[in-house]
Amino acid sequence: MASWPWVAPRYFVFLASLIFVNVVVALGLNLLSGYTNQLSFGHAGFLAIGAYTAALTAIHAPRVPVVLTLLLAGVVTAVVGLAFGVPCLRLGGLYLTMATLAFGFVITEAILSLDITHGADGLRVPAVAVGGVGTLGDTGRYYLTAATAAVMVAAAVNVVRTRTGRAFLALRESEIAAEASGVPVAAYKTLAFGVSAFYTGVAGGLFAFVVGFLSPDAFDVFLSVDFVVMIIVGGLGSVPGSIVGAAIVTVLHDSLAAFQNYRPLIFGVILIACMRFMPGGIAAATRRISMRLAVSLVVALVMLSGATAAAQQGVTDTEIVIGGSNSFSGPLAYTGEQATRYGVDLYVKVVNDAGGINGRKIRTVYYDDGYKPQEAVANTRKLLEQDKIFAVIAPQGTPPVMATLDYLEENRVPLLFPFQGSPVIRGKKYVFSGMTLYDRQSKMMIDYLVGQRKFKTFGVLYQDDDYGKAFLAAYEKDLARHGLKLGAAEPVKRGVTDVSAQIAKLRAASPQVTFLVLTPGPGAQALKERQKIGWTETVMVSSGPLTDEKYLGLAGDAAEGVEGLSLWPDPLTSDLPGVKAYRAAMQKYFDKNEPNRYSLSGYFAGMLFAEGAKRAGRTLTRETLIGALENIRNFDSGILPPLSIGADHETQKQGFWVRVEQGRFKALTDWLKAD
Amino acid sequence: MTWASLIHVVVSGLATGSIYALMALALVIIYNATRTLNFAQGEMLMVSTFIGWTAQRALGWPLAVCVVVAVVAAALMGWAIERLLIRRAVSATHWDVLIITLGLSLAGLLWTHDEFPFPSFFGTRPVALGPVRVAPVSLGIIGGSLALMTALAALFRWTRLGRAMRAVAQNQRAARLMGISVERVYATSWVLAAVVGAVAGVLVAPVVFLSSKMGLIVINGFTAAVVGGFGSMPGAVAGGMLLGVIENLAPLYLPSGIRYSVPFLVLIAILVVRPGGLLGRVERRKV
Repeated sequence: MASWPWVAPRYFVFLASLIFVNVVVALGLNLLSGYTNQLSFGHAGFLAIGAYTAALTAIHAPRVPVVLTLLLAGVVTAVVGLAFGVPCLRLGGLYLTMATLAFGFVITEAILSLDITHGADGLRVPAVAVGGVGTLGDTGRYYLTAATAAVMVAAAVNVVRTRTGRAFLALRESEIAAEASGVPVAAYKTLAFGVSAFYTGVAGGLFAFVVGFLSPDAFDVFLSVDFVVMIIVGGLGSVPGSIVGAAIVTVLHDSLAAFQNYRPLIFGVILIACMRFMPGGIAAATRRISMRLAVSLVVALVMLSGATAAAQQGVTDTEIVIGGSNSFSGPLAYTGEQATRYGVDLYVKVVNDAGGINGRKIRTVYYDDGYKPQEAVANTRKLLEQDKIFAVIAPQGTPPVMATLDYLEENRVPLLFPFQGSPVIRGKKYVFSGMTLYDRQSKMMIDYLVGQRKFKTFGVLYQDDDYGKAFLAAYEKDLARHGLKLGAAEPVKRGVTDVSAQIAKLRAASPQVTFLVLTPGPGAQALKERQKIGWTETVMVSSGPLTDEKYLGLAGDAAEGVEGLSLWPDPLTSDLPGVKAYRAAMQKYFDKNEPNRYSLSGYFAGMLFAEGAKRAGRTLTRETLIGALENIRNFDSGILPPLSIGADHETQKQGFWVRVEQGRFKALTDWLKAD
Repeated sequence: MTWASLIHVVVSGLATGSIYALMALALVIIYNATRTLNFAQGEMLMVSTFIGWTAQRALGWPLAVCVVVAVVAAALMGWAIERLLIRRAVSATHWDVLIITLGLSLAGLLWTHDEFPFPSFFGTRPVALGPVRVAPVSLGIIGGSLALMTALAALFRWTRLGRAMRAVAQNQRAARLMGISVERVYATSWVLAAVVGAVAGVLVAPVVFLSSKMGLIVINGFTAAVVGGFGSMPGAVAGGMLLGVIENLAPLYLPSGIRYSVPFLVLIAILVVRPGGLLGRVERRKV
């Protein structure tokens, strides 16, 4: 295995590193759950502590050797684990499980609200420095994770063979019997908890270095469930089982990236099947799998999981391959699906049926990241290193996009029209924006509301993440330009179901205008809540991407009179020639799918890419594409006003004001601009 | 903050709390019979609500009929899951059953990734009760839940089936020796829990909208059940209501940093102070 990274494709080196990380977590979890029978649904929380500890150490003390950083990650996690675990250990199995579940939530909340972790914006992890001479690349990280995993496996094997290991097993069989036989139950339970947390913390440190970007979204309860699946599949109470389980789940996870939202179903079926037909997992099914077998299985899985080598750069004589990581599950699944499968792909079908671009047909590949940065990183690497895509098109959401920025920049891959408006992407050589950036939207909105409508007092209900905060900061800045201030600002956590308290507080501040910076579900809830308490003396203004039909449909008559800045013409009723062509194409290729703003934006992204590729001509390379896009002047899409892209790579700088009348957005102004 | 709007926030919290309470009750019903957690409870709620919605959208049936459709579908689903999956693994440990339900819940997530509006019997336009204005939808949720809870209480107290279920919860072996069919109690518990879930789903769907994410409400149900004391039905109701109100009041008084952790912090605190929950008892296991 030692020489392997030099010959294997880059992507598999990355995948193998991930497997080693998961092996360490599975070992840690198995020591707790498999040996002492205390099931934990909070190990994603432990992983997060380790990951953030390592990342912060690497940022603030770059001279600390990596081994020490990993050790520190493990120790900090173990200390937190014990601080939490000791009072909870007197709880019985079920209650302990509940407490670990709660622990996982508290940890993600803590990461969200602490300053040092940068909250929902995420944390970029610097590369591992080696003795002040250089940094570790993919291969170096592979050796680092492999060596750490080997040490941890050896340690685990030794622990379970000792008196301690036998005590753990006695606890699993029966606590009372163990106690009667003279095993100090409390001490060993605590020890198991601490060791488990230590393992997971070390794995967290590795995770941070391998993935390179951390955000609280990465460590949700589903990640904890993944870990549980690993040890169930591999076998509870088996060290080789943990290794096999971790390898299988990681590889499966990766190879299912194309099947997107079927992933939970498949994992669920595997769990049920394991319990019905193979309780005890693979370890029990094969009686005693030896360590050698486990290791060779890992190697085989990694090698087998794909051995494809496509053409260079994703451009052949007959084909251009583009793709992206997007949300096909998770909170933004609807948007992701519409923008890619029914948006970009819709235009791709139109172009391909008309003969393609300069004789080349476009093919698209998408993988699901469920709005999680680490999945976005893995998917993007897979797209680039395995599918050999030419450019990334229309990925979604600020955390996933940010997590891949550096990697794409390093490899000089164009990142085209991401569906997010945070200004972080401004000024990057290989990035072209996909919507009017939030600060420009805010400028137009405030200038219009203060200048033309003469409003004086403002309140904001915003989503407590980078999307909400980007708008909040922009509103504050633009109001200050007019000598005004925000009267009240209330955060809403993503996915929360009740906003009555926030609405009550905003009402108490009685602003003339209340901005909503939310996703469609909570946005509609806020409107219903306002209707519930009969709060009519404020103008509700929805921000940016929220202004769409989806949210109107959910809110029903509570949305009447809501205003906002719309970035796209009405996809259902607009008479613009481009929108008509879009509707006709939708009718032709996907007649069951209702036209909507998300798919229109994806369709537009496809159109803009095609325009750039056409202008780049037959010698299409990444550099000629960038050049061609930069030189687009007064391009008439028939959807947006004539569009010019300059050196700033911002494709759009406009929007228009709308108000909801009888369930539809009615335009109140012509295109507003923010140059 | 005026008194009137404070009362509104509390009522709104009680409405959310009733849903948590129903989820907690459903979990407790299954726990009492089989001593295990049903992780799939949220997805069962989601699927049955979707079936009701489909009847309403595709077939155009009136809402009341659709609720019945959802409840019947839930009952069938609960029965099928128990007969086909759980019973065959029942000889195994409680963990095994828990893992199976976890698998079911993952599978349920596949249902859809979209959100849909759901019709309600109750409007959102507020009605004035003295100086206080409350929305009929909140009162409807609270009323509907209380009615169902009363019915459940009556079932457990006065019917033969209810007595059998309580007997099994207390001591399975003794119950079997008394001639109670424990298997029947298992099946009934799953059916009953599924039905409670379906009613909760229909009540809450107009507020949180219909989506596969609504299954996540089961986590609040767990919290409520644990806060109240797992196994205790009055505890589940109290825990749910308490959680709903705390969750709603917390944003009024706490800084934004910790407020969303409040339900979980309450959970951990209660477990530390009273490991059995508010109304529960710590079980002493005998060898």
